[in-house]
Amino acid sequence: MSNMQLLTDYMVNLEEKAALDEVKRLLASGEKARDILDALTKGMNVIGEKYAAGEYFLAELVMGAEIFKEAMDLLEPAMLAQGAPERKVCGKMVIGTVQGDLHDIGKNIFVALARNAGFAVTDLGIDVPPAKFVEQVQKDGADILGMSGIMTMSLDPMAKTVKLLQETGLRDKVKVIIGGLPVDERWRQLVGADAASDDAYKGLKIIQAFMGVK
Amino acid sequence: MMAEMTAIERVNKHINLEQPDRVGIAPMGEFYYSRLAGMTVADVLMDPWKADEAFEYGFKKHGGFDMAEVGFLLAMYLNPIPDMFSTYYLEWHLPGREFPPDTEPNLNERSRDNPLMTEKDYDLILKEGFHRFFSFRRAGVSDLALVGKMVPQTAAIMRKWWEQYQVPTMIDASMSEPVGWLSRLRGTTNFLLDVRRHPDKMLEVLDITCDGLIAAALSLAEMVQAKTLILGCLGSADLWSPKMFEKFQLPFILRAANAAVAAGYRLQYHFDTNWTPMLEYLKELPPKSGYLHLDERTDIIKAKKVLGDHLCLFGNLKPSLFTFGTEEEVEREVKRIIDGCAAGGGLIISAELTVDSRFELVDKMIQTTKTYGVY
Repeated sequence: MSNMQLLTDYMVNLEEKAALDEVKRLLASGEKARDILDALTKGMNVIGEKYAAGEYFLAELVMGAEIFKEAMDLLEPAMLAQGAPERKVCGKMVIGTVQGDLHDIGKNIFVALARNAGFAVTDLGIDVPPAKFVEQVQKDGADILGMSGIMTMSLDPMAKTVKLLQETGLRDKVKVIIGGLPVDERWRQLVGADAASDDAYKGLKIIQAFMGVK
Repeated sequence: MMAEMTAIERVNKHINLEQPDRVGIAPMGEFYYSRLAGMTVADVLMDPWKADEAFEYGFKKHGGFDMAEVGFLLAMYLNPIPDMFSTYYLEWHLPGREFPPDTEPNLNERSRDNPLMTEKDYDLILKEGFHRFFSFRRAGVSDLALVGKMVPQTAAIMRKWWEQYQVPTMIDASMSEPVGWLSRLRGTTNFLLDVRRHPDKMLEVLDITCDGLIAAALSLAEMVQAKTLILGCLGSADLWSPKMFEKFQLPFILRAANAAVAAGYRLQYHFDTNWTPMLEYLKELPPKSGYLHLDERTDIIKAKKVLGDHLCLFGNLKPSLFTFGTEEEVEREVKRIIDGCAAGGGLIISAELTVDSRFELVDKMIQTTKTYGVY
């Protein structure tokens, strides 16, 4: 088994210490940080597939995202030092939990997955008013706007934000995805979003499709 | 056709898995009733008499149903005992306090950053015990004073419904299990990482916390003369694998449930999210010990097949259906659940209504159950 395959396996098996030790060892032995990142990404993709197949659960998805993030903290300085090309950003996204809603479990897991997958994400946090979303979309030149909420009362600020995007001429430039436990096709239609997801991993697949990422 | 029963008789039959006159119907209203009665959420949140007035208005406007939801105020946001809904410990934003008066209470989950509980606090629990860690930190003196006033008021209201109206109360107090409680304090993401990184230590913490939560819950239940406790469970197949559930959560749910039953209480097992792959485990809950609330993410018809001879089922219409749906959709859903789960008794139709639920849709659920659900 190659060193990179071993690292991928540690990642898939969620062996945090072994995976991070292997990253350090590979870096010390002169391996390219870019190749190490590819091995970790491969592992993260397998974790996602296992989650989609019902073999892994949210706990495993969260652990995988955490190991990936810790590994990136080790890799980023090495990538800079090695003059490796910057990691390709596959899309710019603005996200937050809508005004009047403070829930953030699902949103935070989604943000971790999206960042690990190569999206540049601006997370505005919780209780975000429509104008703040629109201002940030404009500022970042975002490709995607994500709005999260789990209360029926959250639908209204989502719809208001989409309306404000229309009024400011930004709606055609940005894809809108809404997320949260009760969110469904009916919500999507009422809000005027492009997609809806009640699951962080499914949400990742949707935004990857938006950006043509396979 | 069987003679019409009182709501108490009907609910007792369902809980005992015997066939009564018709399927039970008990919407979980909370703040739906306040808006229906022309009050704000803030009006009813801190005033049991107003809450009861709003509930009774809705109860009568719908022609009556099978459970009264009047004890929840004390059992939830102003609960001084450690509980997932208690504003004393968690960062709940309440209407009339942090939020506008007619919005629903809302929890700042702090699921990853800046959690209320640090990893070091686990050591505090292990070294110095459950009560050392839990202190009133997030509620004011006026909140505490309200509790003293509300205890006798809530007990009187409960008696009115049981004795005068012959309608059982739905939830009088609460019993927490340690996974839900600690994951709220630590943040769910942090808690899941803690369990994976330090499984043995976390089992010890869960063990100590479970006993503390049971003792605290039983003391409050006795104070308010409760009959039914809500045992909420955050977990399910949406969160973790059956293997992890079996190790880190099931033993503590069973310990809490058995302690409540041994003390003479009925339980509302409030199991949100997807329990379909884990239904077999729920056969270990004490039989006929209450009713199992399942939301729309669990397949209630499968639950009937697995648990039909063990626990009464309660639910499981989707809450947003009552804000955004149609009367036809509500009727179709009620009939689907009755067709799949009513045989032989043990079914109470319900949904967790939100403040913006529409009267005509709630009424369709109630009236369809009363007519289509006759045995």
